[in-house]
Amino acid sequence: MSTVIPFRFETRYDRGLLSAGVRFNLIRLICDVDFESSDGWSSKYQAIVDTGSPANLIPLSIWAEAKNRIILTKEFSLTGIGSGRVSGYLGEVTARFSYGSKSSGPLKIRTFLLNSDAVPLILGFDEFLDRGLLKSDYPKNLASLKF
Amino acid sequence: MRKRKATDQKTPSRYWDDSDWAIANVQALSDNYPNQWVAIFNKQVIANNKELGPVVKQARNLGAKDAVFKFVEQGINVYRYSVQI
Repeated sequence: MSTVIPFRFETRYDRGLLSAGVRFNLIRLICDVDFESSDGWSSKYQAIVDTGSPANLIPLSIWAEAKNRIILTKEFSLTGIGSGRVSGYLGEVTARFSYGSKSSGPLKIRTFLLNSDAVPLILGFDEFLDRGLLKSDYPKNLASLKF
Repeated sequence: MRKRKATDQKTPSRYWDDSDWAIANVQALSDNYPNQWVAIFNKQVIANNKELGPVVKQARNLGAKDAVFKFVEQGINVYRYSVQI
């Protein structure tokens, strides 16, 4: 039995380009997610579904409260996200992806657990998008991941 | 906005209303809270900060554990990162 989790498109535009006369739509796919914690499930967070990201990235406050398992104890550094260099660990958490009555149920995902809170929550391919069929139809305002 | 079926039993329908509202109003959020985390409850921003931790703490202090927590981007962001272990 498969489950289809709807994603939503979020569209804004760049003010700088607009002032130069160019309306440039900045489109994101958004998915709501919560994480298994010691006392049940966390609050829900809106995550950016990033098809350009090979991995999932979770800010400190989220994974610190979630049940997590560190896969590699050696700290890594990650450049290109947040302000400058961010460190963290490779680990695993249990997450649920949902919208309205649709939920994936608990899924273990491998993820980078970041030691910073000033970064977005990003869902990428490894153990998320690679699990199912991704549909993205912006003109029809339809997007989903079918597990 | 897409039609949404009823929510699951444990998530209040208000959460999904707030979640849809956040997406529909992302331009205003981006103008007012660029590159910040926000907590949204009853279609209002009740906390904001560059760091997520203080936003969650403030929302909980206000009794809004099931607020929508969201990172609001500004400008064009391409997360091209590299990892060194």
